[in-house]
Amino acid sequence: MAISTLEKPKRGKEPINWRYTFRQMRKQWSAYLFLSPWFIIFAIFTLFSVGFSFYLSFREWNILEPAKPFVGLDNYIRLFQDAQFYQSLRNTLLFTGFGVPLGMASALLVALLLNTKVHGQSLFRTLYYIPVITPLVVSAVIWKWMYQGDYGLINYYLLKLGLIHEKLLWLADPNLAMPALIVMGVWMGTGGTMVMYLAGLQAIPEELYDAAKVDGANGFQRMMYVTIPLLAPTTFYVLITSIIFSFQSFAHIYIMTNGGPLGRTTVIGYYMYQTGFRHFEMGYASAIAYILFAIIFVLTMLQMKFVKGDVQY
Amino acid sequence: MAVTTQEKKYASAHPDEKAGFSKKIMNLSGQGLVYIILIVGAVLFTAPWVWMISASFQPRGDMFNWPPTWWPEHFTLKNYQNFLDAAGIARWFLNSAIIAFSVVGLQVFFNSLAAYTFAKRNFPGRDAIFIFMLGTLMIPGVVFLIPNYIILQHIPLFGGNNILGQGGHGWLDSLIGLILPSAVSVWGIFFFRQYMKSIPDEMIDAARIDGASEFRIYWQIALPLSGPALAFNAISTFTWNWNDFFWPFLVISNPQLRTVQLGLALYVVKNRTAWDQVMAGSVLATLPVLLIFLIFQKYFIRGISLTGMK
Amino acid sequence: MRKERSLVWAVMALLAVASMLIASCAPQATATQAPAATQAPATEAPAATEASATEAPAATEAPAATEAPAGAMDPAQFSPDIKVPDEQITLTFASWVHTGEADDAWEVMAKEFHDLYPNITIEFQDIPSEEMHDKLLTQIAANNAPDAAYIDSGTLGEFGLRGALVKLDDFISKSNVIKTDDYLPAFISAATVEDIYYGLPIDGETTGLFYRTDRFQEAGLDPNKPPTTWEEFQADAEKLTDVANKKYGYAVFATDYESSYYFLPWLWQAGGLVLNPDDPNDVIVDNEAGKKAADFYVNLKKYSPADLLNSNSYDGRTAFANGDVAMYMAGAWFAGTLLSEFPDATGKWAAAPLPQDQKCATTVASDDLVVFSGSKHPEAAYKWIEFVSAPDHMRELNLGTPDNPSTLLPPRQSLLNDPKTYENREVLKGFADAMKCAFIEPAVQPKYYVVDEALYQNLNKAFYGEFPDGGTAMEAAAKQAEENLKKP
Repeated sequence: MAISTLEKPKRGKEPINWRYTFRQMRKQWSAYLFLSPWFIIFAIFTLFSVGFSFYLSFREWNILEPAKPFVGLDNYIRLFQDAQFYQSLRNTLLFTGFGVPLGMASALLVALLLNTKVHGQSLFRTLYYIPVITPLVVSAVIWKWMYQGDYGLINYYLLKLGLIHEKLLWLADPNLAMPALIVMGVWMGTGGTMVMYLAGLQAIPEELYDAAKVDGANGFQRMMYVTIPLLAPTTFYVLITSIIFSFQSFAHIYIMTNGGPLGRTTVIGYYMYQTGFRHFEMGYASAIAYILFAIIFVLTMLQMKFVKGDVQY
Repeated sequence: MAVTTQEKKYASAHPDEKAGFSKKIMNLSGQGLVYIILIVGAVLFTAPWVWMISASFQPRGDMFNWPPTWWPEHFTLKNYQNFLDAAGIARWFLNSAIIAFSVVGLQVFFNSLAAYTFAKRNFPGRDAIFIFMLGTLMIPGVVFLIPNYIILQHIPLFGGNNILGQGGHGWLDSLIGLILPSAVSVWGIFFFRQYMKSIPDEMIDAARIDGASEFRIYWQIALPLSGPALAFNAISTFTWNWNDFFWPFLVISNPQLRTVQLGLALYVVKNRTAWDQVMAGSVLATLPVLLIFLIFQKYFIRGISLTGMK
Repeated sequence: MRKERSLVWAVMALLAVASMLIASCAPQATATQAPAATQAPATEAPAATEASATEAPAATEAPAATEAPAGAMDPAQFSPDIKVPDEQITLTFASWVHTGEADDAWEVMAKEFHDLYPNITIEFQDIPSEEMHDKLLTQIAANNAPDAAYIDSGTLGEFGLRGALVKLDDFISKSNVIKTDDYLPAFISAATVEDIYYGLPIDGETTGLFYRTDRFQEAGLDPNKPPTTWEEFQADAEKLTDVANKKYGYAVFATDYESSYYFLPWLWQAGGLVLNPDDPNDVIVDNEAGKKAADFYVNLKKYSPADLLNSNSYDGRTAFANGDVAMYMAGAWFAGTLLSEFPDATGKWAAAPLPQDQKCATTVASDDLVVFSGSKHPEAAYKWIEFVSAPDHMRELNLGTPDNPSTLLPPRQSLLNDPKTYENREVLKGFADAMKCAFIEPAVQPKYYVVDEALYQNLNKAFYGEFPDGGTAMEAAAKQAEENLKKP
């Protein structure tokens, strides 16, 4: 009888030592118990929904009738030839590619400022959180006013400052609509991201700041060499969640520009919703969803490889 | 070298003082700049909300003056009176509160528990399960709406269903149906995990050596040190839940179970929106979330330290 | 610090548990909405006789909804051949117009209905109008749809084509109060799919022309003579536009759904059609009439603020309310919006029928009452929608409340000729005439959204200058639509 050993097998090309693995599983049984609430909810809701929608992506379903005829890979093939899909994907990538970094930077800036001892810290934090809770219809009214061509506030100041010479049509110009929406998106999301950073900043031990001060580092250097690196776990979280949300969001876009002008702000989230719920093509919508999942998954895996998500002292 | 060791010592111990007056000015104007940025930013960020409050005190005829009026010309309380007079308002707030508090309470516990295992425990399949969990976040939510609705409808032994989940309406049209599926959130687990990673391993190992059970380590070490993460989970889950419209809208039909967002949406009729009630109602609807934020943001204070752990 | 934290914990745990307990004790969906008020005794003599649909309402009318006495209507007036079940049943009815307040006409109607058929109770599901479509879709998918609903005719067309609604022809033939020829042709047509009735139109509106009488006067035009032909319209728009001074004659919207919706009246007026009546897959919007209409329509851009291109007829309302835009094409709902949101503008605008070319034509926007295929009591559900569609009831439902008069009109000839329909809503008289011009395309195309998409996408391109004129856009639209219709 071999002596069972509790040594962890070497990493690498060695085959899995099953005996060791099972022994570990028994020893760490409570870990699985701790995960069970998630697993139960997942098994009941997510698992079925994922399976069902994946199954649907190979069929056609108009929702109103139970018939779901099998169409094989037709939905996916159609997707690869769909110009509208490519346009919405392009729009979404633009929106995400600019919106996420801008959003993260502005949230980090605000969080850093509001983590220092300023008077009215609580008040300021609350004020910066307010866009997150302002109803979208209300935000839309004010932002539409700001972006208006003839009377809008932004044009007014830009003209006054001489930065532009004739009024810009922010929401009606095919080239300006997306940037306008990106800015509004950043405004809407900063508060929520700020909270993430505020929380993450608290995990950085005070001692490290003190040590840096003693070493003669000034405020900026402390930020670059202590704060930012130690925020890595939070930044990792923010990056992944921002990208996932950005890929799916469409509510504020829809209400501000309705996907126009000329489809330049139609994003993939809206395209999916429209295909499923308005055009009664749930099978096709499911296929779009899975392609989108694949894209996000690949992006996330790339991030995990290149962005350090762990902290080391 | 004319500088004596004593001078050197003095220099390193009190760098600011030695620098003198000009540095003080730099400091002051630096601070002033910070305040200016914060105030300008705050104005930009709160403008729509401020307008909403102002509009809620204006009669409908004034609300859409162009350019928008920031100070009510004809101040009126009628909007609030009309809104509060409508039947069932208190019930809406109660329902929203029940759902939001339940979800936050459950999530804070379940999320942190699961996160602890990912952050500080070592068990077979840990990383694979975590990546799998993250993967489930990446599937666009719109494809889940109809399947989840059907599942809720067929939960066995609830809402008139038999053991096979047929015949009744399961968890549809019930508050439980809105609470339990949200009892755990992968976003929350993810955030807690990231936060808990900053807890020094030595602390955990020391406790293990001392013979503490994993649950005790979680409950007495990891969780108390995760105050800010807890606050974050509470704030963001409460906000999201309180403002959630579409899913509760699909699930609930019974007017007794309406949430605040469902109630407000009834005033938004295409081309015939009752703006006066929407404004007044929206102002009232945002207050609870602000309150929760104010309360919990106090917990954004440093908790983890490298020294003095016991 | 520790103590404070554990206190917060304890409180939250307590709250969570308490909330869950309360939640599980919360009333379930079986609670009915039946009014708890005592029923008026059935022996009360009726104050009105229920006129049959073909007669103009008699002078002994029932007073306003809040005073209608309950009881003592005779089921035989309605549809004696349609049997109701003997046991107690509850019918679920989804709508966005029910408010549940005491003066709500729907509540009163539900009460009266219950008096007439004591074993049927109506349970209202109140769904916001924007989400009605999605909610119904989800419910149908789960076989959980209500028995009946109030939906717009567009949704009726989509649902009817796909078997989600009950065919009403048989019921209508047995009904004493539903006479299909009393309904305006375009409106009842909008409630049919391939000549089968799927719904009963309950209210409707059409698109008309709103114009600023003050701007007309300023420009030297007669405020009592709005344009009645295309030539007059263009001439007036020309006089009313002064871009340098931010004054415009008209408003044009180049967004999805809007640009095609507001193109249709011009198209039909020119004698054009979107689809070939004999072949729904043949898109004929690029024929001579279609191109003429499109050229005219796209050309209107020069009278419109460039800003509004990416807006819609609701958001653009402020431009008209401020007087920046002098003429505005919108449905009767716009009158309601102007009166309630911009009372300062009252007296400075008026409404008129759209100008004509070869003929008069305008769009139909109507709401219909339908019965869902999954209903367990289709006969009882039909009886409810039939009851509500009786002429007097229909008129009541279209009045709104004194504070909030409705801008909808009942689509019955008899009611449109009755002055009582316009109580408190004089401005709608002009729209009643317009309603007679309402037009609906004869061809039925299940994938109409494909055609609509081709129309608005290409019209939008023309507005943004990517086509030299509307005619070219129509050629591209027809081509795109026909290609997409061929795909599975």
